[in-house]
Parts: sequence; structure tokens; C-alpha cells
Amino acid sequence: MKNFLLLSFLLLFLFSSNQTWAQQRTVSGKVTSSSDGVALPGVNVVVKGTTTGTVTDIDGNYTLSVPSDGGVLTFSFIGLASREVQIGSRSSINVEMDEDAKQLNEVVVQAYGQQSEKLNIQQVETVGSNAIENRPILSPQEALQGQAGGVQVMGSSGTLGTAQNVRIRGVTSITSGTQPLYVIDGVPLNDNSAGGTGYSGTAGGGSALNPIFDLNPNDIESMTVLKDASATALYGSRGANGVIIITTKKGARGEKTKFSANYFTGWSEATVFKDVLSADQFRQFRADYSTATGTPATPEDFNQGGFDWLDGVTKTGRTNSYSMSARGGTEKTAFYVGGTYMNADSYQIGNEVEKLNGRFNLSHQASDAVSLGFNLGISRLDNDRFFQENSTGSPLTVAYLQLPYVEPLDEDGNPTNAGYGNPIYEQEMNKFQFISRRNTGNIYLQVKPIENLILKTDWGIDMIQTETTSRDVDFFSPGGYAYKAVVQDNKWLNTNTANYNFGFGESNFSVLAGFSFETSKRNDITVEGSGFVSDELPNVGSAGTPTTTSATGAEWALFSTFGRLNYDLKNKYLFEASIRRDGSSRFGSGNRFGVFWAVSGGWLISDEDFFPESGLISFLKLTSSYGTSGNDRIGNYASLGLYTGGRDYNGNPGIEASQAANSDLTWEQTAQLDISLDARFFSDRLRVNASWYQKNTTDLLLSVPVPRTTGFTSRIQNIGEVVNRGIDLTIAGDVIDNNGLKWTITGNLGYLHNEVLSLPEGSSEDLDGNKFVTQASFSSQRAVEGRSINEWFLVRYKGVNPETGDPEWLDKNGEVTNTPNNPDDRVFAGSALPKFTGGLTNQLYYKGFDLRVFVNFVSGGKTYLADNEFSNNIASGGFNHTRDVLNYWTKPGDKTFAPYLGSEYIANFDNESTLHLFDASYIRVKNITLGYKIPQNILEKSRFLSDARVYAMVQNAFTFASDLMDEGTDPEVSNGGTSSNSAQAESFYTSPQSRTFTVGVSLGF
Amino acid sequence: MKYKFIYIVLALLAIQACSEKDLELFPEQSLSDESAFADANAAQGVLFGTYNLLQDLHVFGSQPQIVSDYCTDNVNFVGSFPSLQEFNLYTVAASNSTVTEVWQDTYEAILSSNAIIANVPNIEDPTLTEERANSLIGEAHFIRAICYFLLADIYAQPYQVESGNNLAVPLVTEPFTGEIILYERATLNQIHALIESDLLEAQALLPEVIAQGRASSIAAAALLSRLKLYRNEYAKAIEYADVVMASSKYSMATDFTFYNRLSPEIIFSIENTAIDFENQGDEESGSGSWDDYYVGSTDGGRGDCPFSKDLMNAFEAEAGDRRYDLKEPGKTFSGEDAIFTTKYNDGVNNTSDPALIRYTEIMLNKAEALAELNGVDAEAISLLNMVRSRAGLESRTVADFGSGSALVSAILLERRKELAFEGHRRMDLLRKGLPLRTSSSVPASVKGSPGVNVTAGDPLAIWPVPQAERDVNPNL
Repeated sequence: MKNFLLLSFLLLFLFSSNQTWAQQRTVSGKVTSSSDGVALPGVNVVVKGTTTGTVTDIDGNYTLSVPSDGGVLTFSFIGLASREVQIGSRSSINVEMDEDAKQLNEVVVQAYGQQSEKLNIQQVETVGSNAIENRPILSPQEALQGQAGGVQVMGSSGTLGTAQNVRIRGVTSITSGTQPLYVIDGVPLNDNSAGGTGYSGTAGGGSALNPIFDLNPNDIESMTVLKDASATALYGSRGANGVIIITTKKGARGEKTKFSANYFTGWSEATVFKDVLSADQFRQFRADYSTATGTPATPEDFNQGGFDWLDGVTKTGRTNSYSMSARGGTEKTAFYVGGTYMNADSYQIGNEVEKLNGRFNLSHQASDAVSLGFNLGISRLDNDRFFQENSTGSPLTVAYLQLPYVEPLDEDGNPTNAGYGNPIYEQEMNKFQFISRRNTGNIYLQVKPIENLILKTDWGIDMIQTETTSRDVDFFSPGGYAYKAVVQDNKWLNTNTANYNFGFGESNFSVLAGFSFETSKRNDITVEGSGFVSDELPNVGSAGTPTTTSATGAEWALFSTFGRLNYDLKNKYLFEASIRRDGSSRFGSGNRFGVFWAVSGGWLISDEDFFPESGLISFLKLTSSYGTSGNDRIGNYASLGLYTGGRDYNGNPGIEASQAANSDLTWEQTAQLDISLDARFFSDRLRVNASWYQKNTTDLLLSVPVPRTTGFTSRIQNIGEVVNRGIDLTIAGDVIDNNGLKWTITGNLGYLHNEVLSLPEGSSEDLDGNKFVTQASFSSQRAVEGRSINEWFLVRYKGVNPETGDPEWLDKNGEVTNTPNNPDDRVFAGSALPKFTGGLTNQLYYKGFDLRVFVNFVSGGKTYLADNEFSNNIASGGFNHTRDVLNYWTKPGDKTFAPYLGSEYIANFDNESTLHLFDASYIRVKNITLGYKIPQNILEKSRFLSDARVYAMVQNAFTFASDLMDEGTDPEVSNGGTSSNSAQAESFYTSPQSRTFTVGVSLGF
Repeated sequence: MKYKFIYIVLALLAIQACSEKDLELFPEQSLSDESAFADANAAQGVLFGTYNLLQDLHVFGSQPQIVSDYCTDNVNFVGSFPSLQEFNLYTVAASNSTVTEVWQDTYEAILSSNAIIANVPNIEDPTLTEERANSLIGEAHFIRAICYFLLADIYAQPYQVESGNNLAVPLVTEPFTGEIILYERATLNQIHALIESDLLEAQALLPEVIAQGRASSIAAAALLSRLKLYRNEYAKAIEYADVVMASSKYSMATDFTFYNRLSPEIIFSIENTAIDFENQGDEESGSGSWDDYYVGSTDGGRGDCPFSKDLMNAFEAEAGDRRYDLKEPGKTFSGEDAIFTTKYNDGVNNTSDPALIRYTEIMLNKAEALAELNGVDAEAISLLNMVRSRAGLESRTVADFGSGSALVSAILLERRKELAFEGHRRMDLLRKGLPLRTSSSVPASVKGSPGVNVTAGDPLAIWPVPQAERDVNPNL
């Protein structure tokens, strides 16, 4: 490796010492607004086809080195029509710019570079800083929700810091990761995709912590979602699930330093809770049940007392965020510095997050040919966690299950520990803390040795260290218990690229070539112990009995070479081809390398001569792409037959067979075809983008079940095929734009059809011969050949017979039965995947006021409430019930939820069936923001403020048309978490999302 | 300039070459299949790994045993897990996770034993002495036998139903080498024949004692005596019991302090330590262990399995039983008062060591076999009295028993009290043709009468073949 480092430096040195290769001269000028002649600061001035550029200063002036042989200068600014000006031999160029809404010459971010929006033929979606900043969101991905067609973002739980489920154009994998690759300023982030328990563990539930939780949303300039093959092929073996490129905020050279300060404070509550029985209701119900089953009883026969546990474990959540930033630059250097402190206290006890982020981005133009810079984000996250979902350490789960007559304090006022424990005092007395420290950054050097050739070397790191500490006091865990785990995952990578632009006649070419090496080493240390003399001793080292001492490591590496060619003829006929060859340590030596590629073409129809200049359609572009990408998330050593160490029997070390060998293992391959149309009507007032795509994934990495008489339960194989087919549609329109009133509507809609085309020979087959793969954590969710990856397979519940009061189910043939045969009477009951997802944003501006209303919706898909198997378990008096059970049958003719309490089939009532399966559709008013910009004439009196805005916001304001909400469950749940695709849309007392009311102020000076 | 580009090209190639080497990364926590049997120490590690598998919750880590207990009249199951509650209510589905995991984890241990038996003879390592190789192979045979014994007891009707010609579980004696074989279920006789030959192998290869918690020739003989008793082969049961009782290494302890300690009373146990729980892949996390189920919820356990009223009545019918002192009051999972055994007493670290084969079991095996063969047998009564006398109960005499079957009943009652909570009750009832529950012995937590009058031969008396296994193996 040392050679590699030396060589890379050598390479750069070769170029940087030759900065005089390029013949350069200087052009300067002033940019003004055409409407009022006011100087325009912050306008981007770029030599077309290069990345050489600058930004106008506060007086609208710029100075820029340009090639001696002239070329074209591009002037662009948000909200203004870009202009292109031939330099010729001039040394002074003054430009006037017009206002324009279409912003077509904005650049879009893509893999290893950027492209003008007009000439872009990749399917990408960008969300800018205005949709991200100052929202009370902890997870940056939330900003994507409902913003981009074909991008499905769902919270997995309302527990602070849990992962967001992000699906870009469907689900391409059954057992490997389904989450996109995140790239911050060119650094692909560690996401622990190699499997394992994550950096933090899931603490009882399926909802792992968010891999980009550490990033401060306020530092994000834009998030760009790469969707089609032409966009993702350059990320090769990791592009199949789509890529999200995050660009952080930068300063601009020559820009006056601008400070901004933001503060917001918020109050939160759960969107919904389940209704459980009060102590009186419970006693009455149990007495009624007992009487009906032949043992007459009255409420007095049960324990007295009572407590509202749900009330006891919840409160009003609070959020406070303080952030400051400064950006600006001198003639040669630009910077951005930002810092945020945020504290979010959940609506549940025992869950609080404190985030401290800093970011420093700097770029410097050393000479006309050499520029360099770095981007660095550092963060510390302190998360007071609790166990969640299927765990008696979860306050909410306990509040739902605890017998309501159990009280948290005894007669003497001391805490009790009965039944499911005492979450109120557990959260107060025990400790469960997760701290993450993360440094992500890159440093780069860019050299232009000759005209139109740019060489860049980029060195990135992502160093994450997490520390989980837990300590249970003697009262809850006799003797006391302590746990500490430290995980480190340190990545570094080096990317070297060369970019060359040239053209002749009406043809323009741009060539990118590069190679990169990326490696990451993960280490963890876990210790655990019990038996403490006193609760005052916090650390594992004081434990009398150390129970765990573990340290493990794992390493992976990826070596890649890649290239891309862009060609356009007359700026109308566009063509692009890209290729990447990846070698990964994760695969067997015979299959280590994979090649991924894409070709795409575009036609700017509206630029044709035959196209009417001033017709209904103002812009029309047709693009199509086809290409491949891969998925390597199978764990680091999945191809090897293994005996794992760390086993022990009575002090003797042992090893255990842990994995069956498969040396043929290789990547999952996804081939994607995309056809898209970009059209604008009525002078760009109505903008439509429609894409149709089909993604075929082959060589699925499937954990194929094998008979347990092999000693294994499954073996990973490359087998099977899945298709995702869909339509992404975005429509935006300026409804009103006059007299200072502006109303814009933006809507997007994604339709997805997901189907498993083939599964391996020898797969499990149901009674009808359908091949399936059981999704790991819940046997009733299956990937089924000819159906979706997440198909429910359940006994159908029919209802309570109004005549007899008995619960009734349907057997396999649809005949009514009181005694369904659980495995054999199951039928397909729908998919867990939604068909349609989308969002609608209304934005209104009037005088200093702005109003934004954002609604998102999900249609189709079914969610299983595994918790109702407990809450509806009438036959058991061991835990509390939801109020639904009070609606029970008493006399013929009653139409009720619950059966006759004396029914001989009552014990089956709560069993796994479609009784617990609900339509997951919903419409949610996700965000309402009302802001007011203080007028300039008032600000001027302050002498230092340049702008000020106050705002109020409601997040998750209302939810409509949701069966799940009626059932007391938030529709954004995923008990299966995000690490694999198993058990989607399943809830086990999963924490609901929070409804947050926020007020804030942002100041600029 | 031209030269510089040549340098660059060369540099690129060099980078390529060195990076491909950087892609060869190997796991740090695991050994390959070959390395696991490359030398004696690694093979020894596989053996301890196999013992570790026995500690699994679903093998001898308590779940099959506690389930078997509360399906009978000994335990009042009050836990909350629906998958466990199904056993209590006699509504077990083939998809029940315990049904699946017991099968799965026990076969894991069996396949691990198979690998040792097949691979150890091929190891070329001077440190692998004959004695060491014998020990490795002998212990693997014993482990395989006790695992098949567990599977046969729960997935097959007892021998008494069809003289062992009924179906049991697949008979797998080879390690997994990549080829998937869709086995059919073997008969109980075939499984028992393998258990017998494995135990004879173990008896021949192993010393009388290695260490408590490890297999031995005596443990093999003791298990043979149980096997023969379960098969009504009484003379053989006596013969193997005599082998055990002739050994100087094992004896009946003088009192009841031997639980979870080193003692000659214990012929084979699983020795758990604090590091086994929530570690070691034993899946014993929050979901259970011997201590977790049997210890009350205020003492660190779940308190799922208190004494049943019926068992308390059985003890109270004859006052002064010292074994009835092995109990303490506690709270159930849902906070109710209940009485728990103290045979497992470490709710915090889950270190209790289940005694799978104990000296008094062998004495009672022999007593029962004698009574079955000879009717009211003086030696049988003497063995019974030794057990009773340690428990502080009066001796019986020949005159106390009007018939052989009365003596057998007395021995079964003694077995119930002596071996309570040690996983014997279900098989003792089934093989004697007795119902698992009677209308008067249904535990309090059960409404109605599930399990009442279920006897051997009733499909409800055993567990179904797991649905998940039938899904992948149509031959089952």
C-alpha cells in the first residue's frame, strides 16, 4: 500500500509542478440585473466546459482567468436566466441578467462531477438546502420524503435516531441491503453494510440507528438522488439501490463574509397511541371473561389499585437547536464554517438525543492551474436510548402490556418492580447511552496541466467511533449489571480522476477517467459484567463477574477503475457512456472483479429548428438509458466455509460451524432501462418530468433455506431474479405569479410494481407449489415467485359470527371454520410494499410571508400488527388489552369486534391471522411552515442585520385515511428495520412518529 | 512531457497490481473448514464448540425440558410467550418457533459431532495421541446419542406405542459436505439403535471420568440404562445401572447441596458459566434459560414456571420431605405470588448447571426395572429406601406393597419428587401409559382441559415435525 501512496503523490507532484503549461489571461467585469440595473453579488461565472470559475463580489464584480484562446463564459444565479457570452479577445465583459424561473442551466450533481441541467441525461432528483434547513428533523433523509418521484422514505420508528427506510425505485434485493449508498463530498460513507449487529445494536427492536444520523442537516447544500443506470453505473458494485450524493455548503470566492444564526425550539407529542384498558375496565373485563368461561367472578376478585402506565411513560417532547455559520471568501480562498448544537427530548421517557456538529469547508485557488481544498465534518452524538419494541425494556411496550392495576410505587412510596418491570424508574435509575463520534472529510488537489484537462486527487476519510454503555442498578437487576461496547470503523479512500473536454465543429466531448482504492477496518470491543458492591460503581471493571470480554475485527477493500464519455452534437443530441470495474475483497478469488456499465442518449427536441419557438411547449427533452450496477452487501466473508471462534464450554475455548462454503458467490447485478421525458409548458410555468423504468436484478444473493439436517438453516447463493417496474412523475406549476403573490405547486408520484421472477430450484414450496423465501424475522412474510418480495401469507380472519358469537376464519378453500389449521390454511393476503408513494408541496409567497404545506401519501401495501397478538389475547389475563376487546359479543345479532367471551374458540382469536393485517395507506400533512421575512427598512435600523425571518412549523400535522392510525399505530413503522429487507411493514408496539410544533428565527448579518 | 505521461501509465499499472493483493482479506474471528480439522487443538475446539451447542436454549438450555415439564402436572406455566403458551394449551402448530428451533439447534450439535467422528481419524498431528483421539471421538458419540435421545423423546411416540416401529426423526450420521440430502424420518427403533451403538462406542473409548460436565464411559452406561428402561428392556436396564453403580467415581450424595456444584452424584450435566448467557451464540438472551424460567421475577428470572398445585400436593402428602425444602416463594412474570424451585437459583448470571443424568435416577431406573421384572422385589425396595431416606422419609417394606404394580407406582412417585424440574416427568408418564394431565392436575394457568387424558399414542403427546423443515424437505 505504501507504494500506492507514494505513487499518488508523485503523480500529483508531476502535475502541480507544471502549472505553467496552461496559457492563461484575465477577464473581469460587472454583472447587473437587467430589470433595475442593481449589481448582482454571488453570480457564478464559469468558463464553459471547465470547472474554472468564480463568483461576483458584493458589487457584482468578478475577475477570472480564462484560456488565452477565448471560449465561452457562463453566468448563472438562482432565479435568473443563465447567460453564455463569447470571450473572444475581450478583457472586460459586463453582463446583464434576466429573471427566470426555469433555472435550466443550474448544474446537477452526478458521480465524480456535475453537468448542466439542460444537457443532463441522467435521472437524478435534487433537494436543496431550503427544504432541509431549520426543520426539526434529526435524520437528513427525512428531507427527501415525498420530494422526489420514485424515492420512498419511511420512518422505521418514532424512537429518536432510528433509521429511515429509503428505497430508490423499489426493492432489488431479498436478503442483501436495500438502502442506497450515501456519498458526502465524494466520500462513500460507512454504513456497516457488511452486516453484523451494526454500530449500535437494535436494542430489542428492528429499528437500527441511522447511518447518517451524525450529519447536520443545516450543513447540507443539496442532496441528489441518483436513480437510473446512467447515474449509478459509476458507483458500480454499490449502485444497485441508488445513490444519494450529499454536497455540503461551500463558500464562494470573492463573496463578502455572511454570517447566519438560527434558533428553533419545538414541542412534540406522539401522532397516536393505542387505547388500553384502565384498571377498572380491565377488572370488569377479566371478571366478565371469567364468568363467561364458567368461573363466576366480580371485579373485586382482582387486585385493586390502578395506574395509567401510558401516561406515566410519556410527556411533551422538547427540541432546541442553535446553529451558527459563516461563509465567504477572498479572491483566492473560500470557506464555510458551521456549527450546530441540538437537543431533542422525545415524547417518551428515557429517550434524548444531543448532537454537536461542526463543519469546515475550504477551497483555495493557488494559481490559475492549481486549486485545493478540504471539507471536514465532525460530530458528537449522545443518545440516551431505551430498549424498544419486542423487549420488556421498552417503556411503551410495557405501558401497553402491564396489567393496569400494577402500580409504580408501593404503599411506602418506594418503586415496585412487578410484572413487566417499572419503566418509569428503570429509565430513571438505569443507564443506556449511545455516543457516536464521527469525522468525515476529504482533502483534494486539482491541477489543470493543459487546457481542458483537469486532474484531481481526492483523499477521504470516514472515521466513526461509537460507544454503548449500559448499567442496570441492583434494584432491577440483582447485583447490578454493566455493559460497554466500543466500535470503530475507519475508512479511507483515494480517488484520482482526469477530466478532459474537447470539441470540434458542433461536437463536444467530455471524458472522465479515474481509479480509486477504498478500505475500511472495523474493530469492536465489548465487555459485560454483573455483581457490583454498589450502584455507585458505574464501570464494568468493578463487576465481580465479568461475563463478556470480546474484541473482533473485520476489514474490506474495494479497488475500482472507471471512465465516462459524454458527447453532444449541437447541444441537442446527447450521448453518454460509462464503465466501472470493481474488485472487492468480499467475494471469492474467482469472482473478485465485476464490470458495470451504462449507455444513455438524449434529444433536446425543443432546440430543433422545426420546434415552434413560442408554442405551448417551451422545453422538451427525451432521454433513455440502459446499464448495470451491483450490490455487494453480503457480509465480508460470505463465500467461505467457516468455523467461528469465541465459543466456550466451561472455560475451554471452542469453535462452531457457522457458515457453509460457496466459493462461486458474486455480486447481485441490476440492469436498468429508463425512458424519460422532460417537458415545460406555457413559458416554463408548468414543468413535467416523467420516467418509466424497469430494473431487473439477477444473481440475487439469497440465503437459500436448507434442511436443518445439514446443521445449517440456510446458505447464501447467487440465484433468483427480481423485477421492479415503475413510473416516476413530477409536475410543478406556478399557479399565480403577479403582484407579489406567488403560488407554486409541486407534486410527485411514484408507481412501483415489484415481482420476484424466479427463485432457485429446491426453494421452499407452499401447498400450491409456489416457490418462496421466508423473510427472516417473521414467517408469514415471504418473497414469492410471481409475486412481490414482501408478500403476506396468513390465515384469513372472517369475523365474529353474529348468531353464535364464535370467531370465524376461512380455510384454504374459503370455507368458514372455527379451527383454522395455521400452516395449511394460509393464503396470500397482499403485499407489504406500497404501490404508490408521493408528495404534494404548496408554496405561497406574499410580501414577506411564505407558507409551505407539504403533504405526502402512500397507497397500497399492508402492515401487520404483531403486537395485537398480545393486545387481543382475550384468553390470557397476563397482560393488558386494547379497548377493542370491550366490544364483545353478548347476544345473537350483535356485530362485534371480539367474540363471545365464553366461546370455546376464544383462545384462537388472537392467533396470527389477517385480523392483525391492515391497509397501510395514508395521507399525511407532513409539514406546514409559515414564515415572515422582516422588511429591509426595519432591518436597516438594526445596522447589522441583513435579513431576518421568523417562522412556525408543524411536522406530521395531520394524518388522514389511515386504518393504522385508527388502530393506534403510526403508519411509518418497520419492525424489520432497514439493514435487510426482511419483515417490512410490521409493528410490535413500535414507537409512533412525533407531531412537532416548532418556532424559530434565522438571522443573517 | 511525453516521458511524464509514460510515468503516469506505469504508475497506474503499479497501483493496480498492488491493490489486487490488498483485496485478499480473510476473516479474523473464524477458521476455514479445513483449518478446523487441521490439528488436534483445532479439533478439540470443535468438540468444545459442540458442548457449547448443547448449552443452547433449545437443546439442553432448558426450553425443551421446561416445555416437557409444564405439559404435565408438575409445573404451572404462567409465561407470556405465545409460542410457549401453545404447549400449555395443547395447541402447538408445526410453525411454532420452539418446535422449529429445538429441531434446528439439536441437529446443529449432531452435525458437529458427525464432523468430529468423520474427520478426527484423518488428522495428521503428532500431538494427537490415541488417548486424545479416543476422547474426541468418544465424547462426540456421546453427544450425538444424547441429542438423538432428546429428539426421539419429543418428536416420536414412545417405544410402547408401536414397539418402536413408529416414525421418529431423520437419521443423519455424516457431516455436511455441500450436497443436500432430503432425508426421510427413521423409525424410533433405528434412532434407538444408533443411540445404543454410539453409547457403546463412547463407553469403550472414554475413561470413567474426564471432568464434571464432560462425557464419560459411566455417563454412556447411565444413558444406556435409561434407553433400555424406556424400551422396556429391563434386564439390560439393570445391567447398565449396575455398571454405573459399580464405579467408584460416582455415588449418591449425602444431602441436597450437590445442585450446581461438583459432586459424585452428578453423572452428566451441562456446566454453565456466567459468560454463556447472552453470548456464545446460545440464543439465551432475554428469551430464557433454566434460571430464567424457574427463578422468580424479583430474583432476576422471568418466573414463568412455578410449582403446580398438584406437585405441591404430592410433596405435602408425605410430610417432612427434604426435597420440598428446595423451594422459595417469589413472583411470577406478571407479579403474582408463586413457589419456585431452588434447583436453579441464579437469575442474574444464569450459571445453574442442569444435571441431565444423576445417580439417583440410575438407582430408580434399576429399582423400576427390578419391580417390572420381579414384582415386589426386595432390592428394588431397598434402592427406593435409599432415595427416600436421604429425603428424610420413612423406609418402606415389602409388606407395604400388595403388588408389583403398586411398587412401580411408588417408584414413579418417588421419581416425580426426586427428579422434579429435571426434565423427566413427561417421558415417565408417557412410557407408563399414564395421562400427561388429569382433570384434577390441570395447572391453574390453564382454562378448560387441554392435555387431560392425553396418553402415549395421542398425536398431542408429541411435537409435530417443524413446518419450516417440511417446507424444504418434501420427504418429511
